[in-house]
Amino acid sequence: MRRYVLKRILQLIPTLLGVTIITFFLIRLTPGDPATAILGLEATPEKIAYINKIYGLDKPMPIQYLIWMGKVCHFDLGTSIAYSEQILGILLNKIPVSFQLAVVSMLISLGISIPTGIISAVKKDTIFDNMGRLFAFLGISIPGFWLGILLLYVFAVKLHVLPLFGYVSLFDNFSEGLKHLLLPSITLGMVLAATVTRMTRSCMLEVLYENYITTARAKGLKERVVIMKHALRNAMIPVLTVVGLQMGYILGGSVLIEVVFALPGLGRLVVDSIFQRDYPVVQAAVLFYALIFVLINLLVDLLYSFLDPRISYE
Amino acid sequence: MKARNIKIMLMVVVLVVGLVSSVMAVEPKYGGVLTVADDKIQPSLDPQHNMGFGGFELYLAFNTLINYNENLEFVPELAISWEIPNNTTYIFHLREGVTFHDGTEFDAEAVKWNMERMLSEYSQVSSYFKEVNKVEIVDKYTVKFTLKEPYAPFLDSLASNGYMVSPTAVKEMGDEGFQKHPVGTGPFAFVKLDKQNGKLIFEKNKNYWNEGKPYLDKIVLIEIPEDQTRLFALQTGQANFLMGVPASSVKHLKKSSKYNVVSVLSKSNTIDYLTFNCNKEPFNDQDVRLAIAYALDNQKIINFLDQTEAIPGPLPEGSWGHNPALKDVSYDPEKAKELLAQAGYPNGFDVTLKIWSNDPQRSNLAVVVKDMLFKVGIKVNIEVLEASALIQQMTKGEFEFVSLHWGGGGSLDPNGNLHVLFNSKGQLSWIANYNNEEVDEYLEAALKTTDRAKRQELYWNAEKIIVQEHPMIWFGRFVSYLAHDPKVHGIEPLRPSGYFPIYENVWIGN
Repeated sequence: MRRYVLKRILQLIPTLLGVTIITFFLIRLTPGDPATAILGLEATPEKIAYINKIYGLDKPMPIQYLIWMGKVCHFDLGTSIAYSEQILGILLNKIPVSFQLAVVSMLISLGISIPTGIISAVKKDTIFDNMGRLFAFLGISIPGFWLGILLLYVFAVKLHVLPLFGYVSLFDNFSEGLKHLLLPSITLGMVLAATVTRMTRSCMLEVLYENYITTARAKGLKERVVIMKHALRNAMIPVLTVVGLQMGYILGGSVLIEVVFALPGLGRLVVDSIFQRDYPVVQAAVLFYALIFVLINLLVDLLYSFLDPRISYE
Repeated sequence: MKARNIKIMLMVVVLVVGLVSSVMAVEPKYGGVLTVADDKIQPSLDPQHNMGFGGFELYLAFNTLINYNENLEFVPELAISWEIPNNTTYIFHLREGVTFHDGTEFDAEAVKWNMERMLSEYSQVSSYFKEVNKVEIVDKYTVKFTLKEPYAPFLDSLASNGYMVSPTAVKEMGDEGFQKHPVGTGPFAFVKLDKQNGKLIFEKNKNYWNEGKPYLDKIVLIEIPEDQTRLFALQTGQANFLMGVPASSVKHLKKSSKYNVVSVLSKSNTIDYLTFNCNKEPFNDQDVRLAIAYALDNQKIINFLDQTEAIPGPLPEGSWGHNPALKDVSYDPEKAKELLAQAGYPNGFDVTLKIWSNDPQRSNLAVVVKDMLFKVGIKVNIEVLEASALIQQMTKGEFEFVSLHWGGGGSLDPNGNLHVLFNSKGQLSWIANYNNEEVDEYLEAALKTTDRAKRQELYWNAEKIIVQEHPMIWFGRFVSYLAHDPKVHGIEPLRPSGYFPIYENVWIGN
């Protein structure tokens, strides 16, 4: 097992290299460049040349890549063109925000979706099932930012019970932090929950008609034990995959939520940087995303073997 | 006493009390915090290096040597008087007893240092001062600028872009540090920038040279990127001043007596336009451009698009170069078809109109233009591009027809509106690629004299030719708005550039 984990971690390196090379060249091939993005209509050839010079953008692309890669190996992610700040510092400020949002949203999502999915499956075609399916349908159809603005209007503007914008870390002040994270997490959680509810429901339905479930019931096991211990564990494997993917996405920041609720997270940073053609920030952020994704995938694979002992990595 | 006399006495008393209290009500009050909600805090707070055109937060901490008043006349600011002995020499007598927020004295040496910084490679305002040859310190409070050639817009450059920063602060913090901690002589001193949480705080400069000002204790800027959330901040009282009211909410806010909505840009130097690439067929033919001018019904466009107002041509009412007698052609689709046939396009032609993506008003405009041009046989294909992609294409000349705006190029001098756009040797001639020697002559001549009346005449001559030849269509101008709590006073009049209030005059009452 340990060797498997080590092998997977070593596989990170070619993956990250591939990702960074593709990102590096892709963003440079996109029309527009940092100088015109920053200067806009007032761009003159001299101003453009000056910006290109100070950011090393006048060098050939492969050289730029090697210079950047060299710095990254020393944990120097470079300087943002738009903000003139160290990128590592910027990321360290934004990552916790997206992380806290992601974790709380995921908890809310799982807290809603798994029970709903199970009940929907077990009580198939009853009113509970229909309500569960309606909920999932709404969650997938309703745009996140619309839901967010609606919640803000009700709770922050009309009822004044929750803050309108901003972020406080849960580690600095748990109750204030939670108040600021509540509406964004509910919004994001609803959106995530929709997919997981459907997934849980359909996986449970598949499993519930398997022979071993009938056997378990025939053995005289209580229904609760049959569902929670036997059916659920087997149904969870595809659900775990989906949840893992979702977690990978939202750990990188959810830009629409961050914009609506004015949270200083990673999503906003990356989208703004793409529009501003802030190449070093985009490269650093994508590198971070790739790292997170690979690690989450590894975690999910390891969890599989926990859920289903038949899966092993010896 | 007779009843009638008592009545008269009462009326007089009421009148007097009314007059007195109304005068009292207009008295500005000291104190209070202005909380401004905007969609973004500028990444650099250094007015000499501000990465594109900035928000008001760039200017709160600073002054210039001279400034404009409401009538666009030059008035003293950090300089109390000036002489122009010949058209390449400018002598300024500085205000004494002015200090920067860090205690450094403001004097001729500081001015010289600032000019040198503004001309350096680091500066993004060097093009406004490129004619400066020498800066001499005559004595502690007298500075002499010598220009290479006569350059009439020099005073405008000083008023619009010559912000004086503290040399000590830049030397201590370095350029990059200064971008996050501005130090100037202005009415408000920088306190704190919390980039992570989007909050910028300025407080009253207690040693401000303009005695009695400012009124506010503090100005706080909060960064809320989403339009709707910003509006909520105003509605819940968490902000009492809102920049960038979302276009869809303007009507609703205007109707409500709870907020005052002020049009930004309405009296400004900004214009919106449709530009042709005069180097590309068919727009190298003046008659084709004229045909399109006839084919577009400007009045209808303005009525149809929300928040659009009419402008006569490249010099709007906000500029002293404005010509009230200027007339462009009116709507005449038959004439348009005639001209097109004469020019060799009896069946019209195909053209691509490029617009940038973040602007719903421009999308609506494009659709209206497409419809109107279709009626004269021109088939428009609308292409939506991201801002940087569009600009890159334009610098390479890969465009035919584009919708853009122009804010006067950061200057209130007609030079910014005409020279920079239409002079064949001008900076940004990739916008229309227009070329006319006579126009060039007028524009060059207008640089050489400082007599405003003479310059106005020259600009009017140039403008007349430009409008006749239509390198652009000046259909109108998109207006945007700010909104504030009625308790906030002194917002109007806006700065002569139109964009924001003169913050040292703003006060909070009841």
